[in-house]
Amino acid sequence: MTLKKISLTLLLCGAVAVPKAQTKLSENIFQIKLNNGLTVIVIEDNSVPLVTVSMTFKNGAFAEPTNYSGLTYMYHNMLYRSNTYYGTGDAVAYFASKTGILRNVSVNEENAECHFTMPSFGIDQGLRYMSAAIRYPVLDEKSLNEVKSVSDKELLGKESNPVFLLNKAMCQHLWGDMYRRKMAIGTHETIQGATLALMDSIQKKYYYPNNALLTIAGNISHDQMFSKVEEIFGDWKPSGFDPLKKWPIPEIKPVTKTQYFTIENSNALVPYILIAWQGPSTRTDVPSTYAADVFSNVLMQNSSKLKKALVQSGLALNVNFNYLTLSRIGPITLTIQPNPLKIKECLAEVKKQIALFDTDDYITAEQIATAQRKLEIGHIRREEVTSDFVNILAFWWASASIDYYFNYVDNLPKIKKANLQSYVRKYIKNKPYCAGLLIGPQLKAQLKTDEFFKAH
Amino acid sequence: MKILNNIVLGLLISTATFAQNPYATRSFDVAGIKVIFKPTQKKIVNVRVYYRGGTANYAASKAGIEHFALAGAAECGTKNFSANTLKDTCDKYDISLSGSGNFDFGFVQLNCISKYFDKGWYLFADAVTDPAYQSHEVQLLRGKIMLANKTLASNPIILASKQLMLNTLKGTQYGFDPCGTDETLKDINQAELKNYYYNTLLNKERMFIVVVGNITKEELVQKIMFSFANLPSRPYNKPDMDEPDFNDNKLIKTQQALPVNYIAAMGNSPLVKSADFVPFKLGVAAFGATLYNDLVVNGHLADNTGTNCMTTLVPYVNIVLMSNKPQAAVSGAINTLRNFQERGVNEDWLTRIKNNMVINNFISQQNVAAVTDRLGEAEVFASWQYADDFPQLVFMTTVQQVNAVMKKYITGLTWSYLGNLNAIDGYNIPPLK
Repeated sequence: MTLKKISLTLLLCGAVAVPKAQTKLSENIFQIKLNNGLTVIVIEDNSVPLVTVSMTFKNGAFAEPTNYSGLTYMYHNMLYRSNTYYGTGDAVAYFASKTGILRNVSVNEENAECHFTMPSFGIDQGLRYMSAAIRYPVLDEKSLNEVKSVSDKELLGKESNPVFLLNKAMCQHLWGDMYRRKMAIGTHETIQGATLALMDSIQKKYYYPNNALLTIAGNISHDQMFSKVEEIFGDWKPSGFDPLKKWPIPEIKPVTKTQYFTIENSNALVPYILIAWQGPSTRTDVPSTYAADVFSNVLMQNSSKLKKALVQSGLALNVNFNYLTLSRIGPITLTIQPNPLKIKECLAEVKKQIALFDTDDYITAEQIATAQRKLEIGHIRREEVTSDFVNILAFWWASASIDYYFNYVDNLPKIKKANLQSYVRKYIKNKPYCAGLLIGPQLKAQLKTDEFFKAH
Repeated sequence: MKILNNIVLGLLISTATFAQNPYATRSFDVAGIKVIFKPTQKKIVNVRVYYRGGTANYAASKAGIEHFALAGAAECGTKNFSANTLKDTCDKYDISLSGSGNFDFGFVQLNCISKYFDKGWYLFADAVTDPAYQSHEVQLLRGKIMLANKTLASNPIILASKQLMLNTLKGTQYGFDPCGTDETLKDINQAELKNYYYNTLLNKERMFIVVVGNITKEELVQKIMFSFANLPSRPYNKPDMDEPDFNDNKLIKTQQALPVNYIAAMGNSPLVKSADFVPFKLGVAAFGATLYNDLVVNGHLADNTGTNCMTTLVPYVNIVLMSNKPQAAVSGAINTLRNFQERGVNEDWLTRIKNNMVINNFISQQNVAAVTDRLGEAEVFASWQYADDFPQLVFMTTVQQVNAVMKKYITGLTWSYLGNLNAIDGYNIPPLK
């Protein structure tokens, strides 16, 4: 029996409810919204006999007050442990491995999700399992202690990598007292300070269908999935409020003055320079988010003035310019791996280049066209691995909107050179920034970096 | 039990269905070059020209030359295109050209969307047949390779595992880093790279091609005939290695200030082409789960653990522990291994391990570069069919086979330690047997 026949058999045996009005987002991607507010997206892809199910919430580091830092990630790990339908954590793990469910969680700045991949013909069991995990978790001391241990050790592992220490220090400088709201892993103190009461409060604040996106992707049919979802998740009670309105996220304070800092670490075998600005938000300045992507892409082209001045000149071995799209201020970052013996010259050239970013001849029309084409191809590439694409969609749903993602390619041609110049003037040029240097102690002493790596 | 087996069985049914459809992998010869081709539905195309031999092709004093030469073929210009023209055209159509060398093989790779496959192939074929190694680009690439080596060495897990392998296999072709060191890379010049690529690597007998993507066989054959028919052909014998023997319980120690200590161990493994390999891989996966449970979850002796079957011509099993109680963690790991070898796995447990492995295998099949990787590695270590047969081989493996191979191969371990030396001062590693 082929998988299609198995799917058909399951469809005929199962209860079929009338699906809601569907939106066709692309050739193989469909969306509905249940009456309880749950947004459901189905991606059809029969290239492998698998299905991935992801449940994402608008929650994450951005919604964590100081004593909650890292707790959303721990809460999501607890969701995969005990629940009232499948029993203890061991029983749940046994069920998952027996059914062929490979589970994972990820929590970022603005989204928190649980997903798993399994054989597509077991999707009925998979959806019921996801419902039990999300709606009926048992939050007990045993699970809490286990996830505390997991998170703490994961953080310790990250701290072994000097680049993590540079990024953490950058967060502290760029976001000030809100830095924890950009770091989902948390701190050792908050992880160890987690209690069941805090975990329970996370559930009560954010875990409702009207704050969630369910994505089902793989060797399945959208009509069948919409019916199943209605049957399994249709009775999930909405909150009756918008969590992000009821518990508003504090605004991030702007950077008021340029700051330089150095992280000296004996394990840093290669130096890094990281420069960051506070960038646009999808809540307040959508056009600049498109300009930011095009501008970053132009700068990363081999023909760009930045690449020629830094990499082709030998001042740097690698350079990366990026903007992370977020609803609440995405960072613009310039990462440079300087030639270790030319850090001073490299930094001077970087400053010179930034000053030129908005000049008329800094970017050509051809570079803009190339950037637009590359971003469009990037869209195609993101859909290659369906089990990963669900997480990409979840990210955009939380940090912008599903429409933002599916209209993205159509909006790119609207970006002209003047838009890029406006973006640079609004967010980068002559704006306060933060600059960090990661360096080993010997090289630091040899080059006396404190003498020149500082704000003037 | 019936339910458990049905899950894997279901996947296998679908695999069998795949084998009869237009997306099945096939192999054929074009102008004297072996081609392995897997058509797909996705919009991305991945092509690799593989070169056999790896570190067996050159002396330790030239460590890194093959990696440098292959990366240079893709990045340092060709007879027809300057490096800048090549990179600008790649930018224009989001074409990725890259090259890399490893212990057992190297490759030059093209990755692009199928819409721009013609443009991508044009650049790729030139990089394979006529690399120019422009001198300024060679200088820049040398710096990039040195930087990448140091960046990898900043990661303690990679550093500990690599140190262990290089130290343990000193004096063999696995005793030096295929990416080279500052010392070996600094003297490799443009002329040497050219000579190595054209006179050692560029040889139809040493090369084979793997293509995965949404294109037709006819289109592919035409392109290969046009681009590669006139490549040179010289006799080449594949290196054939004996199974290794890691049994000395030796501990290699390195001081490094880290928040947590890293400990790695190396043990024997069957060759990939051996019938014992898949049972062994399943056994190591089951042991890995037990080790994590014993040392991390229940024993609180380690922060994390990992096990892996390394697929090389001289394969080995790698065990990694992260712990601030290194003596107790190592003794605990040895105890767990002894108990595991004594008790073995049961039917239910093995079925769950199989599910995990087969589903992971299908997950990786969504990515054309990962499929190319699996087919290419399989061709070097056994034959390309191994990659396609893997789910069936997993399904057919019995409990008895798994338990027998775990006892047969892991008879001792060689250890490496990276971290605070005081924490392991005076400690003698207990023998496994």
